[in-house]
Amino acid sequence: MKSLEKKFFDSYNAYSDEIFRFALFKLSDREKATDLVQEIFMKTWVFISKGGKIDNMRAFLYKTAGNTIIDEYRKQSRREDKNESLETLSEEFGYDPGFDDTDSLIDKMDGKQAMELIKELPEIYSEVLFLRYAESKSISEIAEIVGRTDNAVSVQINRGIKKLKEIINGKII
Amino acid sequence: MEKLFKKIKKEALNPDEKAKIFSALQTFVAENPIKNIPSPFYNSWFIFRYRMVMAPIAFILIFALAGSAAFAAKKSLPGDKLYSIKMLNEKVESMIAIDSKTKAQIEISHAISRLQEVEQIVTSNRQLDKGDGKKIGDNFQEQVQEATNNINELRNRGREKDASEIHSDFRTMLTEHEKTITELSNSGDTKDEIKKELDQMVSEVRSELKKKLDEDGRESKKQKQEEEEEEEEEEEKEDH
Repeated sequence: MKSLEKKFFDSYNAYSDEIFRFALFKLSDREKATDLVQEIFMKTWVFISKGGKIDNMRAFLYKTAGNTIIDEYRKQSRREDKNESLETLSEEFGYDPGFDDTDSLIDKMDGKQAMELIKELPEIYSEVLFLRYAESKSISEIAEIVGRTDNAVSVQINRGIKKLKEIINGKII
Repeated sequence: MEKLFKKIKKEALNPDEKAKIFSALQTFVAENPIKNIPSPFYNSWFIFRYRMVMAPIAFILIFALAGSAAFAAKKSLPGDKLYSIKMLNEKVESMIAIDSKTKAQIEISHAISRLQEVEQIVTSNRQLDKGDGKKIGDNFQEQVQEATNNINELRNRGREKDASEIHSDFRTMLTEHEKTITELSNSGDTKDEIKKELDQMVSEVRSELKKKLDEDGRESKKQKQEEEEEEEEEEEKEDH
């Protein structure tokens, strides 16, 4: 029993940051993302304590995170938050021609704003790009998390990159 | 583009947030301990082996229990909890018998059991519930009828030897019990008011027994008469 508890806390130390990033990316709210991390790990413990067997802790945590985030979406209007974040972004960067290239735009952003920029993409692309480049996940890991095939994920990553470039270029001009 | 994602990568829980969640989880884990978690050794192979061993044991146990219950039920009397099992067992026995001879023998043994029950009840001065006595009488009547039907069936199929063998055994047993029951019904013990039900049962079974024996008597007389007539006819033919 002790070993299960130890494994659980080891998992927390190992994966809490990336789960937090995933939650932050999805919710765009640091406080909510922090609460969500706690909730996700509690749900995971409830599953373990009832005799549930977890083969891949990381994948399990992402799955639980995905479900918990969906619940969270239902509670709040995502659009409002998104608009708010975009407002912040536009206030800070003004969408004005003050930035003459991609690098300077990105340099001025913090992590959260970078997330918001990616989130301007349709969700189908933003999620896979986030997992691929921010979390350095393999295609098959992403496929497992989002519940799509490896092939679909690869295609979506390529298209996502293309679209992201268009968005960034659009902001610079 | 790479820079963009690097920025995202830097986002993380700060040490305070991380420690706060960690402590909340510690409390949560302490409040929600593991329940019935199978040990790592309790794997599917173990369960498989456990089932392999337990299934026959359970099977044997069930049969042993059912067998001992059936055995105990055999000695039960009306009013006992096991009596219904006894009745059920008898029904099953009658049902699974295929051959008329076996069926007749089984029905006879059941009918004799009713008579033994009557004798036991009377000799042990046992108090009967209302209707129990009548039930014995009815069952006896039914079983005698079934036995007779099967004996007739044997005769119809030309198995006269089997039929008369069973019939004569049945008759001997009935005569013996008739004596005992008559003695019991005449003894003073059963004249008590409380044992009215008992008396009724005894007299019912007795009259049924008598009826059966009388019928048999008439039949055998008739048979003898017929045989004699046939013999006379044959003698007459020979004379001519």
